[in-house]
Parts: sequence; C-alpha cells; structure tokens
Amino acid sequence: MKILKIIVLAGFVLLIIIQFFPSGIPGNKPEDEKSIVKSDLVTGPVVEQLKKSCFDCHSDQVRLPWYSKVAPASWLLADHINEGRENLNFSNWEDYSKREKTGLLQRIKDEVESGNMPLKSYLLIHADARLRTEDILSLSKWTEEAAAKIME
Amino acid sequence: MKTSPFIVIVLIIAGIFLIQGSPVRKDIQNNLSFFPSEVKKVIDKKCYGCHSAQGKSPVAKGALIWDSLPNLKKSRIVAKLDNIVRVLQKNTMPPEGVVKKNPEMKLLPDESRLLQSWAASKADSLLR
Repeated sequence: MKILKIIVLAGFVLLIIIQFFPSGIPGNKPEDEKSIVKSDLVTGPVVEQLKKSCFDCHSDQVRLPWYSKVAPASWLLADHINEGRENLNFSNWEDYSKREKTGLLQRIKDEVESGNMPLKSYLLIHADARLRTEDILSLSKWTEEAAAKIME
Repeated sequence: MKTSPFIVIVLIIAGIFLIQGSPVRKDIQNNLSFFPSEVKKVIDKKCYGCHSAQGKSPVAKGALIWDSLPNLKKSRIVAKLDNIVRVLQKNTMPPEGVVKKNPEMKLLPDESRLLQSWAASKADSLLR
C-alpha cells in the first residue's frame, strides 16, 4: 500500500514539474491575404469545411482546446500542429508556387479519399471535423477543379 | 475431349512468341522530350526497378510508374513532379531499406539535384 502511495505521489509531482516545460505549440496569426480563404480557388462551403476539418493543424488559425495548456497533451498537440504546418499551411497558401499548389491539391485529395486525414486521434476529440462521404466527394471534386484552374 | 497435338504445338509456339514479344523492360521507354538522356540514366539505375510495371512493391507502383508519367493528365503530371521534388528534398528515396540491401542504389547528391531540377523545370514548362 505504501509503495502505491509513493508511486501516485511521484506521478503527481512529475505531472506538476512537466507543466513548467514549454509545449512548443507555435503561435497563431490573424488571417491575411496569403490565406487560401482569400484565394479565388475556394468557395464558401469549401472554406467552411477546410476550417472545420483541417485548419487546426494546417493553418495559423488554430482553435486551441483547454488541454493545450496541460502537458503532456500539449506536447502531442505541438507535434501535430508543427508537422501539419510544415506539410501544408493553408494560411500561407500564396507562398507556394503553382507547382507546389498542384502537388498539395493532389495530396489533399489522396489523404482525404484514403481516410488518412483528418487524423483518427484528432477525430476522437473533434467529432465535428469528421468528413462524411459527401464531404469527401465534394472536397475531392474541389481539388480537381482547383488544380484545373491553376493549369489554365 | 481429345486435344489435337497440332493445336498444342501451335499454342506452345504462339506462347514462345508472346513471351519474346514482351521482354521485361529494365529502363524507361525512350522519350527524349520528356526524359533527357542524363535524367533517364539516373532513373533507370536508381528508381526504375520499383517504379515500373515490373516493380514488386504495390506502394511504389501506386505512387509512381515512370513509363506512365508522360501520359497522365497535365495537372497529375505536375503533381507527380512536385512529389518527386519533395521526396528528393526530404532524401527519402530510394528507401533506406532498399539502399541497405543494395548500396549501389543510393542516390548521389549530384543525381538527386539533377532529378530535382529536371522535375521542377518540367513542371514549370507544363504550367506555362
């Protein structure tokens, strides 16, 4: 019994200590002209869908949940956001070349159609981000139309 | 039903011709306007084995088949070329496991740069 008490106490102390380490969650910035939202490639419904299902890792406008301030959950979150932005940041859309945009659109299509994105772990907590079959179809159609527009 | 020996012989001969008519390719089909010879050389040596119809990995074939690349829709070609640049920048191809088993498959820095600049300029020419 005594050992159990010590373990629980040690765990508790450790949990407090790790709160003092920075999470590494990158900062947000307000939406500007570089965002895909301002681009002529998207329409209202697509913007809404992207914001709901993708922006929390793939933009500079992340809706941070309460546990973003609690380690170790915050570390995991930081990892996802940093990696997400590195692969695709919708807030810096205009920084990408036409080639990169075309490549990204294809990757969006592949990831969404295969069900890899949004991440399962993210959907556990954000049920509203789940893509229904019709959402997948319309996003996939959008990527093709947008890619065709870039090729014009 | 009894099969006539004549038919059997004809079938065997036809089979031999069929096999000879479709030899296993070891390099990209000549298409100089798409693959300049120095690019083709690198691809044939380091990438073609997996990214061709004869490749054994369905993942590699799903991602890219060099021989089909020039025949895809324009936007698909650009997307594939962009992926090639990205993968080479990240230095993830050929995969570590493949290079470990076949050290001669390792893509040299010069070869990687050559493929990257080819893929980028090819994509740009299609986007113009």
